[in-house]
Amino acid sequence: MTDNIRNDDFLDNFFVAARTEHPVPDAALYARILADAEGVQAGFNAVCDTTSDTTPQGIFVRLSQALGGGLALAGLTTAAVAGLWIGLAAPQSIHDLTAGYIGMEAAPPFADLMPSLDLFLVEG
Amino acid sequence: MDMPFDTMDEVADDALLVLFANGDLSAARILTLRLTPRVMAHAFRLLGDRAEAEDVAQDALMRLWKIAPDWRQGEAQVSTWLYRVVANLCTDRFRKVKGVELDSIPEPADNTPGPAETMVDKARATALQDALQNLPERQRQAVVLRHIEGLNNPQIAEVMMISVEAVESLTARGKRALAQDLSGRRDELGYYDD
Repeated sequence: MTDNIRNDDFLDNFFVAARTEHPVPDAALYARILADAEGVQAGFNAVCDTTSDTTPQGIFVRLSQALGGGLALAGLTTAAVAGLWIGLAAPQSIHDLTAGYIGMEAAPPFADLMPSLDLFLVEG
Repeated sequence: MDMPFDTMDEVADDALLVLFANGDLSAARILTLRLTPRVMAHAFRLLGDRAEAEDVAQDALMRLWKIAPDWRQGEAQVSTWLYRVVANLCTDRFRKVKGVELDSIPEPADNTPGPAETMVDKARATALQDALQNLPERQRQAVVLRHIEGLNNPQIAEVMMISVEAVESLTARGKRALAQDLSGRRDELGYYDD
């Protein structure tokens, strides 16, 4: 026990020195890491932009295929088809909704805004 | 929509990460400025080599940027996650470094002790880093997390995914080995009166 206390006292000065004496990043490293961050972030936005390029016609094609072919939609009323379209709204509109929420002090987790959003994005 | 820059300093790491995932450009800048020094310092303490530490820091933060969309606030601390990732990346790069170049340790700011004390601190930090490199990997990680990064034992247990008892054992053994290693250099490290 006494040896442990002596060791701790002896080592404390080393640990104190180590806390302050360490390499700090230079501007080049910051620049590389920020470039990585912005590049990855641009990829997030590109996913949103790409899926928003999916035209309503594309959505309807996929809807009709899901319902069993091009003629299947003919059996639905206009309101029913519109409801399907709103439910599978392009992710860009969801992004805009999120952007509005992000203005709050405590930004909620992205996925928690619409609990079934993940399912929509997978299905969409 | 970006939050005002000056309010971002008070935002927690995980909240900033969520903002980052949602395209907030200032969150990317704040996270980079805030996390890079911490990650690089920790990597350096595990590796003892500045160039390797820079590479590990960049790799670790790249992994963080990529998982940002999947981050769930409140489930884990960003720092815990980063300590774990840095350790895993360092595992692949661990090698004995016989002495750390004094040049790799920066000059202190002007408000720190005078030249004599600074030289002693630099020498002690260098000697400690050298001795850390002689420890088994997990003992080194536990001692660094406890006595340099300032984590408590439960936090270290979470980072290393072991029990608190295991953390205590690793730090105790690590410190015994460090004390033995460094005691032979007492004179040159400023322990004239001991």
